[in-house]
Amino acid sequence: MKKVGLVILVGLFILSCTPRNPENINQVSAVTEFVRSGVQGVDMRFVQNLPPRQIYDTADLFALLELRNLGNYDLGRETFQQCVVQLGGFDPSIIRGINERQSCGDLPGKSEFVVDGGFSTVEFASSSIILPQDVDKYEPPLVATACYEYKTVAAPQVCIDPDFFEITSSQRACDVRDFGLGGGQGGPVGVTYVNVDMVGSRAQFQIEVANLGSGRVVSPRASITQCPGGLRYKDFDEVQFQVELSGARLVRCAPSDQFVRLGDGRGRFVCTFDVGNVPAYETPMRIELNYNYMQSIRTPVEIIRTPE
Amino acid sequence: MMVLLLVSCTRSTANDPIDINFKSGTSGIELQLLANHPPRRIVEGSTFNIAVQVSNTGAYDMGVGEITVIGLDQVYTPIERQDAVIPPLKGRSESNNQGDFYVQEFSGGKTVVPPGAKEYRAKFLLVAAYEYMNVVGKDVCINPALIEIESEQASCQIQDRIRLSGQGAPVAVTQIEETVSPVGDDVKIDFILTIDNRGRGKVVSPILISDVRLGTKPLTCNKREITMFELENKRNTVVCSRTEQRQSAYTSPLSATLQYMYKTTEEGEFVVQRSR
Repeated sequence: MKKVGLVILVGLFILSCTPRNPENINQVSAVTEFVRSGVQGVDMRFVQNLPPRQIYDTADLFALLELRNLGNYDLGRETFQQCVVQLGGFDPSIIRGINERQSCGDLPGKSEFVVDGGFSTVEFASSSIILPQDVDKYEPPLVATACYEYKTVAAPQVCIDPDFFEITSSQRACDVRDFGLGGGQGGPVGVTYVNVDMVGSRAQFQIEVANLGSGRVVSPRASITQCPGGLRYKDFDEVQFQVELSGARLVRCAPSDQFVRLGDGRGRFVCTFDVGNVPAYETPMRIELNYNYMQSIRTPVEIIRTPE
Repeated sequence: MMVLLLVSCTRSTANDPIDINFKSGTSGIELQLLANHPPRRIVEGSTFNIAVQVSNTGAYDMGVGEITVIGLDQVYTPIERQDAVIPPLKGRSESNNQGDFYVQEFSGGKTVVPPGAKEYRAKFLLVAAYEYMNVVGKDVCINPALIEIESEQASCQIQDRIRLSGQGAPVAVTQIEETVSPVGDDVKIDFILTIDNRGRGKVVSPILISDVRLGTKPLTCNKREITMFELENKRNTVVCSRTEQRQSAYTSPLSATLQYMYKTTEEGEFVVQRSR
């Protein structure tokens, strides 16, 4: 009887040590895919009734903003990373004493461990509202603008085939073809299309990127400290890119300064790699996009003079 | 039905701010003859009484004012006093939503019909001349950064031209035009205010323009008054400016005070019938 019990115990132990089954692997893979997809960065919303829709001028104004990093890039964890929220839209000579510009706080991006992304709150308060004489009502929009550094990394699998060996297609490891990437790569700017051309031992990639989010792309050359009020036209719609292809040597990219301008929210750059004389193979290409991003939300507020 | 039911059940609480805009419309001091004062027909030799209700239906308190009866022949329809001072009348407000009013009476003496006539038609005018004012207050968008970004990203969008109805007084700022131009590292914001007489009466003094401000900050204007001649000849604009540093767009109330003398009239008549 003791032997039977021992066998059952050992059996249970062995079962508990069994590696994850394929179903679990699929789940993990799905989570990974989820966290590396999407077109959002920092999502903002005002907490309901903060600020209230209407207040008297003798009351305090209090606004609470919820921030969530729905992209795949951590913000606030490293000192050089910047994410700020600025409350504007109102006349600071009327709504006084607000700490208008604040840090977003620690906002880790979506990951296998924080699937919904990091969360933080920022509060803005004024206890001094002074309506100008003879103004009975003031209706500014309260506009919260988030400016943050962000990075999107896309890693599509590409087929490299210099075609030197001229074997039949059925014997090739892969076929060179253009492909589109939908759904984003965990950031508001993403790769949307990769066009592949083989020219002898060189592979040329035309890569299309787009602003897929609801905000505005700001050049990484512009400082976050200038955002939003100090930005000039030249500071908008520019993305820095870096492309790596494993086992290949980068020959050149165009634009050569590795900054691509977006027109109508879209841009394109071309990178050429020397792949050598090798049979066809499939390999991941790493495309890194660095940019600053600016987005706003607004809520109306109505300040009414207290009847005397 | 359910929606109606829900709407009818919605109740505002005591803490909800009162939101009634009294500073609308284009009326100021209004005159209204009271019925039967004077009667439409009176018999020769009898006396008459003119009674007029003087109401401040505008949104501002009236300063100095005078009401005068003109047009009556002192021989046939003598009147004891032809003018009277209008006492201070408060305008419409949260605590007085109709504005102050009172009744002014003018007592007439014994009436006479001219020799040879069967009756005498006495026409008269009541003229109220008073000092009045109004304050325009309109939220405007200031974009000192000079960058136009999409509406969903911008704090506000500059409207080149804002048309306004009355501000609770017969003279009104009817249009505000805004232009922003760079001046070195700063920007100059110009507001062109158009001022019109929208009431039923006449402006009888220069319109003084004062306290032009953007929020709490004063603006500098190219003139301090609009003369009657300028008003009649459509040179009824004033340009007020301010220089600001480049910064994010924001909304601020533009306000200005106008002060002037205004004249409004009311016609009346009665018939003096010869006695048999």
